[in-house]
Amino acid sequence: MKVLVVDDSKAIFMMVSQMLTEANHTAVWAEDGSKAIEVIAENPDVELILLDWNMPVMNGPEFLQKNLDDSFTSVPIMMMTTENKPAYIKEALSLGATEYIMKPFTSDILFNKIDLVCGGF
Amino acid sequence: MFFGSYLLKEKLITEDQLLRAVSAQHESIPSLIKVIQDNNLAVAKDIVSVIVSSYEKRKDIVNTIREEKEFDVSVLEKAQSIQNEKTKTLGECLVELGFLDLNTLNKHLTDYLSIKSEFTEDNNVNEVEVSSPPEIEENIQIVSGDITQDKNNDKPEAVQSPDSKKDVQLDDISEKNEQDIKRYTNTFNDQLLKRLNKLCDFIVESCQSGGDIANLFSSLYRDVSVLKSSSTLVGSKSSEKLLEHWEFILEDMFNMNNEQLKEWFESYIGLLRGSINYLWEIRETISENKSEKALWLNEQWKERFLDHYNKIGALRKS
Repeated sequence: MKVLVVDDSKAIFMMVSQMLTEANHTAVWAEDGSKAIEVIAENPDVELILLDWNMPVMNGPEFLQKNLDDSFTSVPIMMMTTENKPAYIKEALSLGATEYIMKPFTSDILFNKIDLVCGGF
Repeated sequence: MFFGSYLLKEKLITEDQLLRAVSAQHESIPSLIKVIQDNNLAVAKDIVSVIVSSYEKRKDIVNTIREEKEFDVSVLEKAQSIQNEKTKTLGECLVELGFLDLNTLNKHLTDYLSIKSEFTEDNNVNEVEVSSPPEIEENIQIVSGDITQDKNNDKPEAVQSPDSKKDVQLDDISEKNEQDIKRYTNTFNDQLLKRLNKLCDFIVESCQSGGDIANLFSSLYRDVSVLKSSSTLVGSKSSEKLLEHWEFILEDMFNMNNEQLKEWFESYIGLLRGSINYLWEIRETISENKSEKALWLNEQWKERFLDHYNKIGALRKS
């Protein structure tokens, strides 16, 4: 499965990418929401988006809002953030996020969440 | 008629006892600022700013928050809701002060509710919201001895919910249109049921392996929110009420660490699975009959569900 990781921290991308690669997935990177829109257009085989909350240029909620307005992707979107308040989860949900993962996370949790999002039931 | 007036009329308490109970009830109202702070609804800087502004302009906290807009209005609503929840009922105060025993209170609360129900129907009182499935509130009180159910009726005005609810009859459960039912069943589908069960399995595994339960628990909160919205859409009051309890319980758990969450889930995962089963049963009934009425006509089911609902309610209070 190809996963788009949208995070302004290259270190986070490298870490998540390693987790994904070890499980035979591939990862592509976008450093903000605006770049992510371009990467999605170039990679129609992306099956999951991991989206950071706080980023320059276009942050996570702005990206979700843009997708609500323009519907440029129907791929499941998992918010990844250090924000763990119920209000944040509700906000992400109302903007169309499918899942929510709190940083820092282990590969076990990441794959549990991928399992929850992408079925495999 | 308020519950206090009813008790006076029935000569179950004296005026002095009522005044003392009302006073105790007022004392139990937690400070709005403390609620905001304890529940991390706003950052310390903004809380201090509201307090300073309230002091300087000699205005109460609620109006200061509304006017200064230091917080989003949803923060105020949430804080008031918690404040409301934490405030003791008149009944609780009367029992605590030794003016009434629990059995007498429950018996008269039931009588009072039935009188109030007749009164509101006769007078066509303009209260809008249907509160719960038929007879649920009375049954909840009878089954569990729950004395807090009447919060909306006997609270002082300062904390009374603006949308006071009306007791309902079985006939109030209306059939919903096909489109709403389809949207509900599409949301709460086989996949979501499997996801919920899988989530429970993951949580159990995490408890056993010392994994990151907090992260899984946020997924659970997400699913409860989704289910609650879809239950509202289709007017499933029993699902909505059950999920409301769970949402409240889970929101309280956001401050727990993994060790505390582990203990919590090890004790209560059975209740969570039970709720999932009830929600699915209700979903299947609505899908077939366009309402949940059929379940409420089944006495055995009603008794089982209310027993479960009361356990979740007790958990919420604990």
